[in-house]
Parts: sequence; C-alpha cells; structure tokens
Amino acid sequence: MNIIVCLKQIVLVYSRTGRDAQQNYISPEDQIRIVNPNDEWALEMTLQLKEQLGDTRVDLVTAGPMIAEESFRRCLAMGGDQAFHLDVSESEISEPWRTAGILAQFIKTREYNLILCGERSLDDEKGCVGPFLAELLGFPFVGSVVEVDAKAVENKLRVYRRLERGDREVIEVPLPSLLAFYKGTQVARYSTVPSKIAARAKPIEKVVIRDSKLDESIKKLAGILKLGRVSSPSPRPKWIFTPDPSLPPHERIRLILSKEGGKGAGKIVKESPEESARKLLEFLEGSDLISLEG
Amino acid sequence: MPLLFSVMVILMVLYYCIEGFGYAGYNVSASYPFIGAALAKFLMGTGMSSATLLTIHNSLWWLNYVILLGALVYAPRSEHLHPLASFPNMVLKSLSPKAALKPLNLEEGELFGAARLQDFTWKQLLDLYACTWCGRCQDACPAHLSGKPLSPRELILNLKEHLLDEGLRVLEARSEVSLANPGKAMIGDVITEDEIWACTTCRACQEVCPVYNEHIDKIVDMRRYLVQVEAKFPEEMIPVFRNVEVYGDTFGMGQSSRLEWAHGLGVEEASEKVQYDALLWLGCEDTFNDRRMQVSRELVKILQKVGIKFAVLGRNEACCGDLARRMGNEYLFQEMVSKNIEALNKFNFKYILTMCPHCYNTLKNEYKHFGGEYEVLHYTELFGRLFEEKKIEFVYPVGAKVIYHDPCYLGRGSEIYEPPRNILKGIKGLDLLEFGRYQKNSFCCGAGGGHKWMHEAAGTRVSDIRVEEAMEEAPDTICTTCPYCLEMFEDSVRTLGLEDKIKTLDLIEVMSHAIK
Repeated sequence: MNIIVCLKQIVLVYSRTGRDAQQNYISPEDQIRIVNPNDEWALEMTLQLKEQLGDTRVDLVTAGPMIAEESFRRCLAMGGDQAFHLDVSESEISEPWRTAGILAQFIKTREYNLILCGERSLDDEKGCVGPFLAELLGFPFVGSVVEVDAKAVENKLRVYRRLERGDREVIEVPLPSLLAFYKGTQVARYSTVPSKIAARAKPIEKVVIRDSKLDESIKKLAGILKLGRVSSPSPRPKWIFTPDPSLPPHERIRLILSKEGGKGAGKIVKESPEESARKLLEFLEGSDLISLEG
Repeated sequence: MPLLFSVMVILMVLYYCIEGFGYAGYNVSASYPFIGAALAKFLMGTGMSSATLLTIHNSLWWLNYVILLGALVYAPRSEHLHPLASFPNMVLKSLSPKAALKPLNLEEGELFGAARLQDFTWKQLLDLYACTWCGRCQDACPAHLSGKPLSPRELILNLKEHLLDEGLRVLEARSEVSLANPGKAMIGDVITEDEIWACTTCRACQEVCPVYNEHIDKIVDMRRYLVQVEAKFPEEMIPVFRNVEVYGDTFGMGQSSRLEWAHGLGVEEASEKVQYDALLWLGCEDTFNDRRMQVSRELVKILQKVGIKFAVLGRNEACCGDLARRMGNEYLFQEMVSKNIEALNKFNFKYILTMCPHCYNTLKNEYKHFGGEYEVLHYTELFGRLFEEKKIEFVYPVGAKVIYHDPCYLGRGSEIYEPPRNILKGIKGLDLLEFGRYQKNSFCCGAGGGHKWMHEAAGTRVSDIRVEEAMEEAPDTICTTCPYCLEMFEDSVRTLGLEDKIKTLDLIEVMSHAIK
C-alpha cells in the first residue's frame, strides 16, 4: 500500500511583543513555526497503519514555502520513506482550492492508495483542502476521522468518524480514498535520536510545479463554483483593534471596550463584588446564556 | 557475611592451636601470647609425645593456610570481594561537583547510554563490587520509602550479579558480543523499567553510601538508552519533551511569553550594550507557573530595593535543559545548552542569579562541559551574603513557626545549607524549626528526575510523606527555596486537607514580609 500524508507548515503567535501597531504588535520572534498538529496526528495514524499492514510506503508532502523546516524534519524523524516539498509561493497556497490544485497535480504523478491530511489547520481553520483535494482526485472522502482500521475488512478501510459527545460513525471506505484526520487516542510518537539525526540529513525532494496557472481539473470546478478573480491575498477589509500587549490586562480591556478601541460595546461593572456579581448574572440571563431558577 | 565470619573464627581458633601445639611440641614454656601459652601449658600436662604434638602442629599449620588461601581464591567470586574493591573505589571517587552528570559525546557517535554491561565504564562497574550490602541507600531513598519498585541497593547488587554471570562471556568475546544471545537483558530482566523511572535523582543514596558508590549515573545511563535509542519512556513525558523542543520551555508557551510575569514591574530585558551585575535566570517554572510568578515578582521588588543592576534574558531565555538531562534525553539537553550559551554570550554580566536549584546546578556545573563557564549564584547565596554584609535589613517581624526544607539540588547537591537558615534566623519573631531529616539528609519532595510530570502509580506520594513529616514539628509555614518543592508541598497540603493549618512559602516571600 502507498500512503501519502499532507502536512501544512503554519505560523502561530501566542504572545505579541512587538512595538508596531501596524504589525498588530507582532515581532518576528513571536512567530512559532510548526507543522499543523492535526497533520502530525494524521502522520501518527499513518505510521500505526504501516505497523498494522507491513509492506507499506509512507510519503510526506508539504506545499508552499518551507517556513518550518525543523518541524517538518521532526515529522520525517517520526517515520516516512520520502519527503516532498512543493516549492510554490505563499500566494499560490492562499486559498484552499489552490492548495488542493497544487497537491492534486503532484499526487496524480504518483501512485497512492490512501491520502491522509489533517482536518483543519490551526492558522486558517478552514478545513477545505481535504474535500477539495478528494474532489479533484475523484477519491471518496471522509472527514473528522479519529481511527482507521485496515485489517477489519478485506480491501477496505474501516474508518471511525467523530460525531458529537463521543459518538462515532463507522464507515467502510474503499481504496483509493482520502481521509481528513482529527485526533483520536494516538499520541504523536517521540522519535529516537538516530532517527532525528538521520532526518536532519535526509533529502527533501523539491518538486517544481511548473504550471502555476490553474490545473484543468480546477477549471472544471470553476463551472460549479463561479470563480471570480484570482489575486494575491488582499488585506483584511475590516481593521480589528489590537491593544498594546505591554499594557496591563485591565488597561487592554478598557481600550477594547472604549470608543477609541472598538465598537464601544460592552460595559465595565464597577460596583462592589456582590453587586457586580448580581449585574453579571442579570446580563448572562438577559443574553440567554444561562437561566436562573427561582 | 556468615561465611566470612565463620572463616575468621575458624582461622583464629586454628591459630591459637598452632601456637599451643607448637610450644608444647617444642617444649617451650612461655607466658606470651596468652592463649597459645595457656594451651601449651595444658597440652604439656597431658603427656602427649612431642612427635604427636608437632604432627598436629604442622597439620594445623597447613590447614590454616589451605583455608586462608582457599578463602582468598573464593572471595572475589563472592560478596567478600567488597573489602578489596571499596578501598580503590573510595580513592577513585569522583571529584566533580556532586550533582553534575557526565556529558555524552553525541557527535562522535558515542553510544547513547547503557543497554548492556559493556556500555558502562569500568569505574561504574567497580562500584558494583564495592557495595557493602549495608542498605543505607535503600533506607534513604524516597522512591523505596514510598513504595515504588526501586531500591538502590538491589539495583547495585542485581547489576553485580549480572556482571558476575555475564562478565566472563563478555570478556571472551570482547566487543563483538552479539545481542542475539544475551542471556538476560540488562534492561528488562535484571533491572525493570519501573525501577529506572522511579528515581527522582535526589542523591540521598550517594550521600549515605560508605564506599562512595554512584547509583544515579547508572540509572541515568540506562535512561539515556531507553529515551534516545528506543524512545521508550513514560508517555506523560512526550508532551514535555515536545514543548521544550518546539517552544523552548516545559509549558509550551513560547519564548515570546517569557516576559508576561513581569507586567508593570519595569524589568529590563538584557541589552547587549549594557553591563549588568546580575543576569536573572528565572527558569521555566518561575516564568510560567501561576503560583511561582508571584515569587518572581517579589524577588524583582527586593532586587530593585537593594539596588542590584539586573536584567532578564526574556525572549532569549530557553529551558536550561536539566529536566531533559535527568530523564536521559541528552540530545535535547545538549541542544538547549548550545542555544542558551549562544544567548548568554551576547550579554555582559558579572554573575547569573538563579531562582531554581536545578537551573543553578546545571548552569554552574554542567554548562562548562560545553564551553559555557559562568559564575552562578542562587538567590540564597546572594541574599545570605548581603545579609551578612548588612546590606539588607529585616525590619518588620514575621511571627511564624517556619520549618525549612532543604531542596535536594540546593542542599545535598550544592551544599548550601547555612545562607537560608541565617536569613530565617535573622528575621524577628520567626521561630525556625527543622525536620528530623534535614540538611544533607533532607527527604526529597518527589518532583525531580521528571517526576513532576509523571503519574505516581504505586505507593504513597513522596511529597505527602514529607508534609506529614513537617507536621510532626507543628509549624504553621513550610519554607523552601525551590519551585518544584513549593509546588509539590502546596499540592500535598491541599490533598491532605491541611490548608487551614499550614502555609507554603518561598524564602523570598518570607523575606519580602520582613524587609524594609
């Protein structure tokens, strides 16, 4: 069996220490560059599948600029036969159907029975690349997968899909197929030092996606999707006020609630603790968030 | 032991007989040596012929030497080797700082830890022979005393048995011993993994060992193998290692968040152009843990009052790596070391001031193996010195009955016992109490060696034992100088339902009540 796992490199910001309001107070050091955790869990599931099945090839692919190479190589150290880097610019992966198009172009050049990717990424959280990619490749798609059993049914996968409150939907999926993985009970394995050292030196094959114009299959989708313009990402149309993170918390809240900051929505309750608690309960009840008995 | 004792008694009796029969046979009257001479007198009175007496004398002489030499041949194969091995072991004991571990040369492909006997150094194996079986290590070990499978004594003796069983075979095959036919697996059969992970690296065993045995370096070497070569270790530690690797701290908050504790205090992030007295190294716990942030803030206020010119590394600070090293993840440790040395070398300061004894030990004693030589002070040393020089004054009384707990890495590991006590004694109204097990016999809080994050699956909680020991002295406050100890005791006080009876404070917090 040949499996490929799609890994997205993302940039997270937990704390902002910059001084420039135009940059939303984000300084370059604040950027945490990692591979999307859902994709890592998908990789862990894939490696467990490999252990279940035996003779399996596992490839890794990432599209876009290599912004988190250390993290990507850490994934390579977990396991994987070959890693591919689809070296396209950031604008070409700015929309999920574009990313899907690029991945589809690459995947079609090789033979894969199964594709796994994370359900959604922590930066954009759109969760669309999986479904788009499945459509472009013509593969059956299951999203929110938490468990894959390759041995239960002959020539099919028994896939467990996450529903609300711990319920699971059990689906039998034929191969080839594409699964978008959420997190099950798998823990992303810790790799051994020899694997880490080997992964540091392992070559990541750069693949040139020559045709930066849209793939034929995407144009087919255009008929259904009514594509408008293709342009580089535009700035957010709405400016969201960001208070200076070096101010103390109460100052920041005051700024957000004030007219100079945002919509001027919200109210600061300044009464005694008992009175404030009463007012807060009234507000919560009035907004239908809780119901008070009696 | 009984065999050695019986042999000694037999030899002694034989020797008296040899003397007695000899004197009697040669018809010598003497009064010295006493017992031999008395026996001789008795024998001469029995009327046995000289020839008989001398025959018996010679036979006994030969018997004496057969037994003596036979014992010397047998001893090395038995526990009686230890007297021979103890002496060289004591002479060859390590002179490096007590709590520092030896580095592995990972670049040269040095074997990642110890999976077999051959992976231990000869000095580590000499320890196994030197053990006197006394069991003092076991009686001091917090893991053993709280019901965990680890006993330091059994560790040493099981390894020694393994060495005696496999040693000859290993020597014969030299380094080409294949693991295909290993007999017993050292990790697994001889020493179980539970034992290896139960250790908190507190060093109580090494402190009480009469022959200076080192138990911890063997445990850590086995951990190094398990973590680095097999990636087989308690699952709870995977997120901790990951956090240190990816975010540079054990909490997973990221280096950019390292100044959030200092809101509004005017703490300076170190600049390359300025010369500082102290570089304040907080450590992950004091930066991110909600309870410890309070202590860090108090420390900053005191430093500002005293007028010490200090800065923090802030966003340049990453985990010192101590936790990774004690868990056996030497690779991760060395990564953090190079990162931190690179950061530290950019700035100008006289000394590094630490809040955490683990960071203190690692920065002071272990970074130098990798090119980072710094003067490092723990805040107890700094404030102890300032107190002696009368640069800080404890003006306000603190009426409390305070029992002081020596953290393993500050007390036993770095031998800093007096400064915190001098400070506490210098505060008016403060009644300083001591644990029964105090100073170098201090009982671990149970958080070292990665245990802060691991589940305690068996036995009693180590920190519960220590808190109950504290309650025996009837204090109203437990005072300590280590973030792990503080957190463990706070938690135990809550679990044991003693919140109304006892407070847990850091020494800094006690000082800040008393200082002007």
